[in-house]
Amino acid sequence: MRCVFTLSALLMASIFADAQHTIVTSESAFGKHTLFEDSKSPRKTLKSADGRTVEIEGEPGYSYSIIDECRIQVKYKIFLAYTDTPEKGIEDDMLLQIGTNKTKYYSTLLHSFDSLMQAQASPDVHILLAHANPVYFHNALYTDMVTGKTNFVCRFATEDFEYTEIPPTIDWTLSEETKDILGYTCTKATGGFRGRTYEAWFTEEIPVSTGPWKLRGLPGTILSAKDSEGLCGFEAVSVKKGEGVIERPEYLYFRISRDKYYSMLKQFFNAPLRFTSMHMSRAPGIVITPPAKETPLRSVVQLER
Amino acid sequence: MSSIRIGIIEVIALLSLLSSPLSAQEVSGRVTDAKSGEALVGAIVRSLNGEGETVGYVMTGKDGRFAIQAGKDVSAIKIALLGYKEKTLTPPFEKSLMISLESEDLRIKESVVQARKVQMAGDTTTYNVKALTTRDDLVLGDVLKRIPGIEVTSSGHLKVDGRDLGKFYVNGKDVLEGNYNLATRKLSVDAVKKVEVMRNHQYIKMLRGMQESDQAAVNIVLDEKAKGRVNAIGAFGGGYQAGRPYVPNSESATAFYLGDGLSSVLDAGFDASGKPSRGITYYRLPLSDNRYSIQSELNMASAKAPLSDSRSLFNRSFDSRTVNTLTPSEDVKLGATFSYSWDERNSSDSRISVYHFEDRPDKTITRIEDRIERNAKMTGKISYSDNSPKHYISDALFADMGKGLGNAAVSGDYNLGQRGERKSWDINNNLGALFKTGSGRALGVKSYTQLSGFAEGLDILTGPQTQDISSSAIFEDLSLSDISRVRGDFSFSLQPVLKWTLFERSSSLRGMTEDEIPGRKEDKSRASYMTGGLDWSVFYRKGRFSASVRGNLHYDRASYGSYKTGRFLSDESVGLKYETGRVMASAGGGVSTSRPDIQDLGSVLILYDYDGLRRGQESLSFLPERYVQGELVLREPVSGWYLRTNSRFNKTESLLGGRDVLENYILSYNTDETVGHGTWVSSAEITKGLYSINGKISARVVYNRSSSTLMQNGVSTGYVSKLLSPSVELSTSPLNFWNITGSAAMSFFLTEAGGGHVGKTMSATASVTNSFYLSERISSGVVTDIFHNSTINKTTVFSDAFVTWKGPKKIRLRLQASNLLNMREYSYVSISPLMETTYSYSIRPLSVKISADWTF
Repeated sequence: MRCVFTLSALLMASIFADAQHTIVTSESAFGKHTLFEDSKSPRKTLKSADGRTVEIEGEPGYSYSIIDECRIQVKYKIFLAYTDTPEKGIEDDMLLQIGTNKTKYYSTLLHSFDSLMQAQASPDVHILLAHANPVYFHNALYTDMVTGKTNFVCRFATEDFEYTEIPPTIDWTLSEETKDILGYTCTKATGGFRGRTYEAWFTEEIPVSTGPWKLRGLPGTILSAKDSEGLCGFEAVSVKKGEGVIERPEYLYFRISRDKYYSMLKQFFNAPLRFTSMHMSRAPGIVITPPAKETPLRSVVQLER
Repeated sequence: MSSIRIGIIEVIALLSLLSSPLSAQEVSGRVTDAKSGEALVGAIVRSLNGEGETVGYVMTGKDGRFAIQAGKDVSAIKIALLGYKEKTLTPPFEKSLMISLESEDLRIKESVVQARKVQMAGDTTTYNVKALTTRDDLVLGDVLKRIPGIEVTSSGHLKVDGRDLGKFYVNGKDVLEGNYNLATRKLSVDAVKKVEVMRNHQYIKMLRGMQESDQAAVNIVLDEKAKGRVNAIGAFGGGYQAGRPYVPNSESATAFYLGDGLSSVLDAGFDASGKPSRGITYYRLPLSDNRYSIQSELNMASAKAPLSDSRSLFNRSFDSRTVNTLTPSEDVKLGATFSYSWDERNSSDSRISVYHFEDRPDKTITRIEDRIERNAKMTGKISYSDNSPKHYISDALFADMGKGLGNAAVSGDYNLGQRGERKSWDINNNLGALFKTGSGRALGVKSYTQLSGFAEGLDILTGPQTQDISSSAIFEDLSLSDISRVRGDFSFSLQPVLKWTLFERSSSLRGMTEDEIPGRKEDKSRASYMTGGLDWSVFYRKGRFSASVRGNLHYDRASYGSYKTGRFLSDESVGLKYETGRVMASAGGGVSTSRPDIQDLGSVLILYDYDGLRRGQESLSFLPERYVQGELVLREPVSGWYLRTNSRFNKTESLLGGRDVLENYILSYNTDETVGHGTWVSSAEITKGLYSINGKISARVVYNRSSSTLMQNGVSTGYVSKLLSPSVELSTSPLNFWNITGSAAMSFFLTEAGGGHVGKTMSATASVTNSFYLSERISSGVVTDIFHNSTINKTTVFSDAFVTWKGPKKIRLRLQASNLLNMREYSYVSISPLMETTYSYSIRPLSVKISADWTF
């Protein structure tokens, strides 16, 4: 897996070798940013809000912007059921970095990225893809706890996309039930969000109104949440003091809407190779020839209906 | 109250109860930082009732402002924010509050949930080695043997669901190949993070999705610390023994370098304390291992005595092996392996055999044999493989050379002294290639070529007889394959095969009289065997259900001396399987028509097995066979339950038994020919992994029934033997400081010869190790091996004691006293329909040994 990841980084570097002197600005939920600064050295030394010095490494040709300092890190195990066999599903390790005003929630594992890369090498890929899990790496959700605005970024093939929205407030109902998770006393709450009813357990001992993904709005941090049908769930597996800063890689993002993202995701699942071949603009020279009839990827439940 | 949501009815009711307009008050305010005065956004403001339960809450907005309901039931308002001291306000509440919070250091209870010990996803079960290790575990095999469904053999090889492991990967690469037992036996458990057990693993990448496999594979994921550095274990020890050899000792070292592109293992060891050489295989009497197994032909009582090599072997052995693999890319692999071993042993055993006949009285023969043997062997192998999704190419060139020297003195009912010397060499090349030709089709070729030579000189010291045997063989096995996926559900393969063997043997016997060996003073024989034909298979899969039909059609031509045969032969078999992640059920059967017993000829030709020659298996025999079998496996890896049951029934039509040369001319037997032979074997195993204490408990029962009809001097007699053997295996910690590991088994064996003689024997064996942890570093224990056999009505007990000290920097010291009861001789009885044999062995006396091992 490691050599494939390097391949993709090299791929990106080679594409932008010519664009090293380009300065592009973009505006997103977090203000104006300068992209593709000429950075000869991939390592950058930055100062965080409380005066600490932090060194970060960036992909050659990319810069990172610091969103906030990271005060607490909560690691969650996410489960998303397969639509055909709901008792089985994919699992991933997700990390929630909590800052003073902002949070970042993202996947820490690589899924089938390398098998997709393998797909480019062989024409008989439908068999490989049939066993591949959906590509969730490079997805990240940035939330501004002050305004409630969320910025979601993702990568399809070689192109990066983002959408921004303020999700609806969840009308939580607290209960008296309590239980212990990771040594924290948690209280139960139920609430509905975009077509799913969640049972969440939050702790007042971490007084930040946040939680995994877009679940927030309780008087504490949500350490566990699962939907009433058992099709998706989040379970905290560790709580640690935060290290360093929360950063956002400044790729060139295409702005889309939330609905557009879900329709693209659906297209990807239905015909992964065809979809991928249409988004190869950042990797000139690599050609994917999809077969006439593709086997769709095994579909997984979506968090938002 | 089950919910704090207040409906409109409750509000009206509440309002109607209240007399004061202030009772349903709204409290508003602003939260700021005590030092800077800045507004604090996102601070949590909660209202609590008398029991401390939250009745309402809000978060402060951009300017630090909030508004919250504080009715009569509210007894406190708490304001909290990460990084600030929580503030509590009690009634009466002012309508507008100004709250300033003092900052404090972040107080977080860092906690991590216990890593899950077992996870299952489809065909792959992942075991978290770090979470499954106990304080006694030193090497990888110590953890693997506690996994339900996995068995670690004495050589360190693995069996999954009762079948030999297919592939063993290290971080996804097959760098150790057949030498993976080095990792099981010598790789430190600290170097391994996870073990993945993959069932139905197809190791040929281009066949994935095209041809299914029912082989299992294991992948070990190394710990980050172990990558790219040397992991090694060194051990040495010595002591005193109250008898020869007075100073038993052993030294060994194994080093692993498992990097990204290069993997290298070096293993060397010398032993003079009862460990056999792993590079030299001897024909062993069925006493040295500790397990029950079934021999399906004319069964011998299989209650195996707990007599391990370390108790009965008087030898010095040396083993060295190096396995090197270069993986320049994901698919390509280059390998070079070399090994050198030698073994010198003195052994002495006695055998008293009682033969039963229908037409004459029983005959007792006593035979005591003293042997000195020296063997040495050297092997080398270079290999190349390219296993990519588009094609598969692999070639391995292997060569070995061996020599041996042996002296045996036989006494008892006949006296004989023998000296033998032998040399052997062997070169073989194994080539395989598979290519994809179009969508869903693959063509391939396989060629196995072998050249072997063998020479032996045998001198009968007590007489004038000498014998020289030399043989050479050439063997070629060539096959082509065409594997296709016809439609989504069907796939089939066709394999034209051509095998050819030429074997030449010359032996000269001198000093024997005509009566003893008629017409066999000088012998030159040549055998050739050729078979050509087609192997075919059809495979169908629909969801969890699959079916396969296989067969072959061959034309065989064999010639051996004046014996020539040429005939068409075919085999057919059918199999059905239903499989999910937790269940595997299969059933099948087959018919195999007469074919020359290439195995016997093969074992002589290919493996230059001198013992095969000595047993007189020179003739070509025919083994038509029918079989039916079924298997059921149920597993729940996360909770640790595992159940396996399988049964097989074999029926063969004729078997040309071997003649034992020596016994033949003593007893004046001609040929024993069995006509009609059926075997039924059934076994069931239930295992529970005790993950909370990293233990395991397993119960097993085996049933076997064999029946044969024997032709002796024209008279046909029936023989039946039956065996029932329950056994149990346990590894657990009843108390925190006490660990118990052990196994116990019983075997009930019955044999009936048609027309009279009935033989019965019962054996029981138990082997238990009790360890006690006196402190974190010191543990001590007792090993007890008990064996009882009803025929000789004797119970034998072996006992050892040890003390272990775990020092700093991964050094371990161990003081061991073996055979505390100083047993010097051990007897064991084996019965079959034809005879009963009592074996006696010399046992190593009481000894004390101190040993140290060091992991780095």
